[in-house]
Amino acid sequence: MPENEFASLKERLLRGGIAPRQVERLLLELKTHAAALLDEEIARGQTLEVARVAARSRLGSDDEIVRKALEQPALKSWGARWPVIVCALLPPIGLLALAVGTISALVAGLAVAQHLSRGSWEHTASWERAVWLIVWLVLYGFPVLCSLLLVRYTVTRRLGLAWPLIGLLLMAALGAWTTFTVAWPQAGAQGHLSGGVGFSTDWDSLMRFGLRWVTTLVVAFGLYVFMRRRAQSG
Amino acid sequence: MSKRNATFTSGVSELLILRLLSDREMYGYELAKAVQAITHREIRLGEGLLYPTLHGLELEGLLRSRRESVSGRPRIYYRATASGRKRLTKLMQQWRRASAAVSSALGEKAHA
Repeated sequence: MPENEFASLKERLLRGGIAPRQVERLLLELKTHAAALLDEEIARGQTLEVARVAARSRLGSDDEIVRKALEQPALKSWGARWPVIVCALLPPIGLLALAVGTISALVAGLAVAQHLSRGSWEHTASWERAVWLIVWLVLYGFPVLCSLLLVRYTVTRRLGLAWPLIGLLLMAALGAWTTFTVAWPQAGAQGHLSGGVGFSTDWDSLMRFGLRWVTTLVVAFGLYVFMRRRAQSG
Repeated sequence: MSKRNATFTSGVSELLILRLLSDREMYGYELAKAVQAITHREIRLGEGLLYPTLHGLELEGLLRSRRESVSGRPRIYYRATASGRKRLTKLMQQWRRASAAVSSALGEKAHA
């Protein structure tokens, strides 16, 4: 069977909300079955072309296969079954959990380092670099990373853009509103970490918020356009 | 349409699949041949239509599968689970009741 024999069926199944994993498995079995039918028709003395048409006909039309697949709700992806939860609510909650988890891990790491040094701990350049990297990840990396994952999820499942768009806008806003500062201990003064989610109405804060918000959205939409074009070109 | 009627009209492939796979494991092509054989070729579904039903039954826990490569071609073998055999018993009872009802109705009409 030609390699692109089932390309249209694949696209229709994905657009119908069937999970990509189920689509791949279905196509694998259909291809194997079609190959067995082709062998059977050729063994009956048919020419390759006639055998190919007969084998495809015996499998059933694309319409029938798609209809049968859509009758099975269990085959649908979570995003197709619960788009509001999966595309609009879970991504910002996941981003928040990722940020809180990372900061908690950092605080725990600093506490363990202090405990092991029995009070003689001093921050070094490598500690500063590691903490700077974590701060950068929380403030800039995670919002973009989570947005890219949502875009990828949306495109590979051919989901409508409405709910993922709300998820993206919320994640970009949440990422831009997140604040996280580190003050290292100085002579006679303890260091501290502070983080939170909030915004200020002063011009500088609004500019910083806008820049981070737009950056996340531009990167996410860039990937969306790229992946959609690639999916459409097959 | 009631659930029972829906089962009567569209649950035939599920019934046949569970019936065949409760005896022994089979892969799709083999199963399609077996359906034709036990129905004396009276039921000829598009053979590709078996797979969405197989996958749905597996996700419901009524079938389990294992993958094997034979002569370079991947094959996925299916077999009914204990839950699948229970569902089969229930479906067979529903089918027999519905079938008896239809036979009775047709018989009454024929004698009217």
